[in-house]
Amino acid sequence: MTLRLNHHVFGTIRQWFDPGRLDEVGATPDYRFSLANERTFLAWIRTGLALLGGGLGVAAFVPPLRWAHVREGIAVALIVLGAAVAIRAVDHWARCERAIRLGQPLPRSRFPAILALAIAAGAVVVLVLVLVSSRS
Amino acid sequence: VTPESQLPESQPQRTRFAWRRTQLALGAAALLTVVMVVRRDSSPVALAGLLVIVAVVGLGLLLAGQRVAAMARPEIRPLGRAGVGLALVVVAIAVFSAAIVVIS
Repeated sequence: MTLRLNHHVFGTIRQWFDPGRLDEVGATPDYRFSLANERTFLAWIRTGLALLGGGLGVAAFVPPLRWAHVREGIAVALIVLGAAVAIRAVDHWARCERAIRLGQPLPRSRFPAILALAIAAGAVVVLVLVLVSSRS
Repeated sequence: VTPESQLPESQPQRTRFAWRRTQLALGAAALLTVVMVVRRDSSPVALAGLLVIVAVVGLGLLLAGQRVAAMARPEIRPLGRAGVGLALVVVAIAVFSAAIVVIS
């Protein structure tokens, strides 16, 4: 079980670093599909950069809150989320490219919904913290 | 009527613009990193790390520039390692920034 999981994880990572292996899978698709997949990848990378920028903005410009290290916690959470989005972008691109070449349906993912919920919940928490901090 | 955005010849152009937007976003993130380091921790170690990150971002911008140039060629090659390279640049900025926030 563990061996199979390791094989799967290393196989996935190898696919990221050696995308030429994808050429051996299925048939060469219409280049428009590949380019659309590439643009989606770039949109995710920009989302990751936006989260990273948000974290940097919090660390650089937000005044210290009432509680110690809360501002730093928010900044690090946003920065880590940005990195996770960037890694996920590569994985999603590779899985979509493979599915396109094999003529299979595109892989489904709960990641966008989870990310949206996390950002919404985070925004509410930050709003409450800022309001409470500014009143005291 | 075929929407202009779906014309085959417009696809490389749209992808080229997407890479340009990503270059701009990467540049903005690098700029914010510089501002954050200057405001929070301008020790020699932090400044040395910042130099490394600026070099890594330069590499990312170069990768993106090469991909933009590839879009102008008659035969468009698949994305290749430029994708994972770009993602690693974002991860490098994130690791450095998080370290500065935690340490300073």
